[in-house]
Amino acid sequence: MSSILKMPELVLNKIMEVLDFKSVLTLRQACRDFRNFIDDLDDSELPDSKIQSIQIIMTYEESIEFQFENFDGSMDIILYSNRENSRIFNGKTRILETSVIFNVAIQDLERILKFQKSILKNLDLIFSTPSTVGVQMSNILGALEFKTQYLKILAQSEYLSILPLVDPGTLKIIDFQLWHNSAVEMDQIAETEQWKNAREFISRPYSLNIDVKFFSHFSKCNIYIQSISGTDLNFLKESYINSSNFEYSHIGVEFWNEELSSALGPFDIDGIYQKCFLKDIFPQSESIRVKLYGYYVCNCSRVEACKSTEFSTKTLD
Amino acid sequence: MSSTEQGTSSAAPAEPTTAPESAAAPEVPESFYYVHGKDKVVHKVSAGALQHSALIHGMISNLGYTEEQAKANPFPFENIDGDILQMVVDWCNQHKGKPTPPEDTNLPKQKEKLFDLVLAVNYLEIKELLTYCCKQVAMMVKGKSPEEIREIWMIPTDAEDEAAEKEAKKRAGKEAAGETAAAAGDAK
Repeated sequence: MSSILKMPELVLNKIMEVLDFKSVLTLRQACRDFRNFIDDLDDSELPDSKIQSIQIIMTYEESIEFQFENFDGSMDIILYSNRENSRIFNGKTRILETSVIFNVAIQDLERILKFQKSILKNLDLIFSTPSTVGVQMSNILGALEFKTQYLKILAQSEYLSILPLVDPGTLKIIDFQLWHNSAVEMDQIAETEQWKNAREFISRPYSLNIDVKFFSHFSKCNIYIQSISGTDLNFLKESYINSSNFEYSHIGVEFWNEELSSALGPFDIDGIYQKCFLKDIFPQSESIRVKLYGYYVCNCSRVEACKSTEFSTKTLD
Repeated sequence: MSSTEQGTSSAAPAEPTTAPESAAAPEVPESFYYVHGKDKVVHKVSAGALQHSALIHGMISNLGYTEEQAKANPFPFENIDGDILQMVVDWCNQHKGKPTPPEDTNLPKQKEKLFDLVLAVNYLEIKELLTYCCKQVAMMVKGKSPEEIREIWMIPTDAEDEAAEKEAKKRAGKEAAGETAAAAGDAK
């Protein structure tokens, strides 16, 4: 009888077209002929994995875990354990012969990403490692190319080495989840293409030591920072007024600058200070509202021209 | 097996297709061609049905046979088993001049027959049928483990494959050695 391995290439290609990416990856393991055939295929000949989100959890010297959320909402989880020298896929354990478990994990991920034709909605990177190891890990991951809209990083301080892992062309939202009040090199991060191209920035729950000029270009911003001055607030206001795509910024402040509150004038009885600033250019119907709550929160947003409150174009400080 | 029996019973010139076709288009007399496989059983098929096969369609257009010439010169497909060719002819007749449906569930369930059909259809260049067949072949292994795939598609493991290869090499090596020895003997 005819053997599947003797089928013409056109036939095998057609079979690949019909299979989903997980079946192709399984087929790759069936024998070396299929492995060679599949590895030689162009990316365009592979089916789209349609993965929506990927979460990567690195635990120092212990394990790497990949969680994939599929287009239909189902999840696939692969855990690589260093101690057990094993790969656990959806609960099924396979002992691996190699001792370099992280290399196996990265190879597997690279193979899976070959099937990714659409842009990921979310990429979560969790580095539960000392910073130096985190930097090493991000260097290993650097061999891969992630295209994602939303990037969330939870790490000690190695954000600068992790951020360039993603394609700056597709990244829209950067989300820094801080482990503690750590020293993050914001001035260098602000130089990256990823930072410059993103539209939105989120940073929680600890305060970030960051100059306001580094985040004034985001159209949406939700952050907690160490301090802000009257000059800073004025700079933000000017940037927002002159920006074409600014929507809002919600800024928590850890240390309030006393000089600022005196410069602003009296607060309302309920501790709210509110001022609207008209745009100098069209459309005149829009203005930027700066709202300060109880000295610790500063909200700025693009609103319809404020009617009830005083218009002001003078500087704040 | 049932498809084979059905094949031999209806191996005579295909009457079922001629009746509805002549009723639908009475003005243009349809031309017929003849094909046979390894078993030499000749099938009479309308040009309309044969249009599905890019290979045969090309042959027909190039040859420009008259009715008598076509009858006297059936297209020989020695590489295709009789029952497989019967399946192909049946499919072409059933789908003559009709848009093909997105799925076809009437394909053989036995993998041996299905693999042979894939090769025949690929050779005859019947695009839609090839798509159905490939889909059916693919569905056999969807969601299966590598071990199950090997079993279903009868693929040897790498170890078995290597052993067989080594064996073949050894044999070839021995033959080559024998030849060189013989050649050396000749030279002397």
